Amino acid sequence: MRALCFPVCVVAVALAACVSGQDDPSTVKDLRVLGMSLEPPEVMLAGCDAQLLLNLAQSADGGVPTLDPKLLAQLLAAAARPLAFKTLIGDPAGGGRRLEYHLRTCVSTGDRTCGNSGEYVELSQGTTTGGELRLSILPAAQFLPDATPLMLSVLEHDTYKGLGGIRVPLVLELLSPDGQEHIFAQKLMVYSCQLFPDRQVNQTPILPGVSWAQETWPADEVKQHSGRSAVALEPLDFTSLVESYSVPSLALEEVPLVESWKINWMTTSGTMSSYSTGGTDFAGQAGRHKNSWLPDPSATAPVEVTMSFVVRDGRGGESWLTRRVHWTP
Amino acid sequence: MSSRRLIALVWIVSLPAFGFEEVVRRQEVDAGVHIPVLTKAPVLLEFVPAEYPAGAQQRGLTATVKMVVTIGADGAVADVVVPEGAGDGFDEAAVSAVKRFRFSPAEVDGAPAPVQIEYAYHFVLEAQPDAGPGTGDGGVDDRDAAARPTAKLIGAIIARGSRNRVPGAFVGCDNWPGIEAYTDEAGHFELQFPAGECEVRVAAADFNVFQTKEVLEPGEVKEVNFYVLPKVAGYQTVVRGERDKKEVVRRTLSRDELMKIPGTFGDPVRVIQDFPGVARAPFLLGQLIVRGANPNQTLTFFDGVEIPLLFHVGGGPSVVNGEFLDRVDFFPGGFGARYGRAVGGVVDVASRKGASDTWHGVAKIDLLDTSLFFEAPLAPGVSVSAAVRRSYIDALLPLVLPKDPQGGTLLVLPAYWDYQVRLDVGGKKGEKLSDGSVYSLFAFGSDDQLKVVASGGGRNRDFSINYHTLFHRLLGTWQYKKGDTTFKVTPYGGYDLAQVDFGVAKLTADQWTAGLRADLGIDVNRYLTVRAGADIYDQVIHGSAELPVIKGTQYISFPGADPATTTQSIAQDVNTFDGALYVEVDAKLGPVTVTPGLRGSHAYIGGQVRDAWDPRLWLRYEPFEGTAIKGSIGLYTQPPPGTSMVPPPFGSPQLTHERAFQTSLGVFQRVTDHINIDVTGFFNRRYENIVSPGTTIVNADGTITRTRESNDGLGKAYGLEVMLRHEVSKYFFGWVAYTLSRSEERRAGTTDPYVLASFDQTHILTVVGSVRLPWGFELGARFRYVTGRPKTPLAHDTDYFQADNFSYGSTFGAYRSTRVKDFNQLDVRLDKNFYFRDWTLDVYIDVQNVYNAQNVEGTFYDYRYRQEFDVPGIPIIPVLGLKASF
Repeated sequence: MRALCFPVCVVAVALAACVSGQDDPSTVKDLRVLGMSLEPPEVMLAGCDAQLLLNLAQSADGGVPTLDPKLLAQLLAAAARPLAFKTLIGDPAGGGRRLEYHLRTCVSTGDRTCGNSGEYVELSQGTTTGGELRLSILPAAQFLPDATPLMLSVLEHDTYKGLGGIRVPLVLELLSPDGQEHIFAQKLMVYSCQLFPDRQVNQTPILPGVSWAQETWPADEVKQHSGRSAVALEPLDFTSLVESYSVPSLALEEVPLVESWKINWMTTSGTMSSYSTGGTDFAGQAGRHKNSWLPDPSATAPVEVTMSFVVRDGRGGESWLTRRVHWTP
Repeated sequence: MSSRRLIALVWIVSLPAFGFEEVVRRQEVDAGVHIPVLTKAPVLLEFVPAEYPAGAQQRGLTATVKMVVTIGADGAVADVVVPEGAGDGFDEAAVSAVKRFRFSPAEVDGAPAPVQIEYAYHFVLEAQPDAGPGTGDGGVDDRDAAARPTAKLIGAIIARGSRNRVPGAFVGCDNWPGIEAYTDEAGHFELQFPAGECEVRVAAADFNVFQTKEVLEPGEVKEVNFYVLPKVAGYQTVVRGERDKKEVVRRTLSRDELMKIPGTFGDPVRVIQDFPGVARAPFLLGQLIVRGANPNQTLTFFDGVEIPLLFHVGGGPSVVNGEFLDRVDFFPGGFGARYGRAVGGVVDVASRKGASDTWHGVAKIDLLDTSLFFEAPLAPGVSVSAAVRRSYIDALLPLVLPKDPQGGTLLVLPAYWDYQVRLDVGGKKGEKLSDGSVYSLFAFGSDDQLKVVASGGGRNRDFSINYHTLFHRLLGTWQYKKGDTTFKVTPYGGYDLAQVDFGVAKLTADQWTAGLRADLGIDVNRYLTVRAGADIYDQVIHGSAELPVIKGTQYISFPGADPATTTQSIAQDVNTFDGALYVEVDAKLGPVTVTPGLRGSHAYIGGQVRDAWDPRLWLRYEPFEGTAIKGSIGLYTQPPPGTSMVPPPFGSPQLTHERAFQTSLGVFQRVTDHINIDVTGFFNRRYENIVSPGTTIVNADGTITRTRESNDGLGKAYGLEVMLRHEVSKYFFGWVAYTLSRSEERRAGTTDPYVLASFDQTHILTVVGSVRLPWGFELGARFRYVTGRPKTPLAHDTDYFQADNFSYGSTFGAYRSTRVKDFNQLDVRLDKNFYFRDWTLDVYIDVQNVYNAQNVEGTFYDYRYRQEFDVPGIPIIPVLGLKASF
């Protein structure tokens, strides 16, 4: 009977594909968070090794802290490093309305709202509109209401005690003026132990550009398009920007990896043939980045279309490009 | 009598292998009750002609009187009942004659016993002999006959359509009264009569009378075959030897039932899913979910040897050709100590011996595959049977699949084949083992492949899967009987392969198995029966893989785009030895039978020693004839698979046996000769179930040990099963199965409460029936109503976006607190049999979901988890098939 499992999964996946009538995620028609980025995407504690990390974890668990002064200094330096927080908010139907926002950090990655009593710190709040929201934050320098350093509490909640990086959650809460639309969006900030001498810190992935119908599409160009025909979209070649990096195995051996960027394609009108492109599946097969934009078949009047292309490197780095199209029937 | 001749055409069913379906009732669902099994049929030794009623004779009347004859243990006729009288004095005359018949004693369970048979006496008027030779009517007188030289007609009586030999058939010359013969067990006869013309008349039970003329020269010996046409062919049951009967519930189906259940596409093993205690599996997948246990906790055996899979790829047909089956035994729980390594249920599929009369064959063709079956006697006491099946979906599917919408390559190529070959020495099909030895050699295997390719064109990702599994088994059996002692030993060996190529990843597992089963049974006296045996196997698994470094297993992954990694080679060998000994004792004290049993096993899995002791107890009380109250209680264990015992991070070497405490209590009541009802309540407590994930430990040196699984699973299931059954009769069989149950589970070491198990189904109702109709038609139907499976309701309050992996989180209500829509479906099967002289053609249509019920098999959500979408069940599916049997 065990041998059934594989065919069963194949059947289930095939049938899932047959279910229709769902919202297309590539079409942004209401309030959504389309991307979140932090600069830098990773802060690495140089010279940190597994034993230092373990000592830190033991102190987080209430053990006797035996922190190496050098590590302590690096922790403090990391905590004091300001981060550029940026988020892309899609609100095509909002008409420029003011949205209430709260940005919080907390101790557990499982806390999707950063709302557990006594376990979060509010970093910023205010109002914003659709588009980009930019803030400068210091999440690692925060203390919980009981005066516990946030970083130590994050480590305490981590099953792996920081081996995969100390992952500090940031949650942006967005609320429409009428209270009808409400979103929590989470992003992880990684403070990692270097562990291996040649391990390099992550750099933010940035797309060099995209092409519209096989032609480079400058950032400031508003494309004019008429009719219902699909238009091919593709990122410009970014292979030289892809980084090789390494992570520790569970046995503390160095595992070499190569970034495999993923791009999410979104539009305020029409649909993309693929919502997500690229990446590598669990069997090691890399994806390509062919895409096309299909105008809204129900539209009868000219539309100003905004497209967003969000790229992720798979270890916390994220950025985006936006482009505009003037479409006429 | 002087002017007219009386010919009594008599038939008696005396087949050792079949035919007593209207006579001695053989319980198919023994349900723990001791069911008598006919092991030797009575044979008519002394025939007494009936006096032709004078009035009827004068009026030229004829008649056939059908009687139910009770034959005593000594072979004497104890009673004769005429259910429907023929009148005109025929009944009295027939009863008077039959009461003076003498039979050889019948044997039930190997001992002389009274039985009932159905018997027909034919009164036929013949022309007067004074017509004489030359008158043109063929008549001759006795003086002339005695003076004439003789001729001999020898041959066989053969059933049209099947070429089965017809034993017990009457063969006579109408123009030579008193010259008659009966066919032997192989259907042969010899008829000696005065040379010249013989107006041949052949009469046999359930066959139309056959008449012809043969003219033989003096001294001539002529060999003929007479083909007789069956009347409405009735269902036949197979008389089998005595088997263990202690289990509270054992559901057994014979081949005739198994092959004709609607909705199963003629797949015998799928019929198990129509029994009480078995939850419905989604779609046509055929998983066995028994009394709340996981599918992998119910083991499947073929002739007592475990097989790794029961169905071909993607829930296809079972891996055993239906023609090869003798029966399927299904134990939903409380099974005997002979079986182990399972905490759910057990399915034991038994193959059958080849034919002993002549060669036979079956060819079956439908949309999925073609199968061939062949059986033949090679020499007296030696028979062979073989079957092979091959699918051709891989050839047909490309013809009907749409062109790749992406403009690239799209291939879906499933393919399977299987085979069985069996050689038997000693004994005949259907015979009970007598003193001495019988031997058999049996090889069988199965192969499944699935290739899916979607590449090129406008795709962003090429998709390629090659999935391949196969197994082969070779087993020999030596069975020996002497007096009240039987001994059976079955050594076996096998090879299994499982292989998956998915992109650059390649996983292969080769498994070699050698095992031995030995079973000893001793009837010490009428109060005590002892059974004991050994069940031993040794497995060597060689696993190898070429695959990327596995995130989450070998390193801590970050949510988001998965990286490209180097490909690693992994190889691992796992040795598994599992030796078990068992003993059971039936102690019979009047109407009470107590059966204590014990199974002990010693396992050595991947370097780890695991021992288990499973005490079990069965109790049966038969206060009245046809009534039994039965109960069981016992422990059941299932060792972890060897592949799970490899070191972390791929395995969990700390795993130990899964365990279950199973109890049941039920009552069986025979209502009529054909109808019985079984009601059984059960409570199963499962503990130390293997669940995932395992544990994560941060070691003192900073490394992390993470196991994949642990024995933290807990479960309980309880319920009531009802089986109302009409056993196989000549024209009808069917049953109503109903299960009321609840199955719950939780994880130990947490404060989480019990929740409904994923396949919990409160009400499971299945109604099955099949009826033989005139003109070769057969109509069957199956209706099912099942409570929907549990699901967790969506409770979307707001959107939760995870920016690192660009996905949304879900918000659900109480875990598994609602259900998908209840399931209902009607399946119908219609067969039309065309009988030819040497073969029969069965044309059938099997229609799934006749009224196209809109069932729900699952739930999917939109990308923000705001809405639910039902995954529809199968629509109406008609399948047309042809089956030719020789």
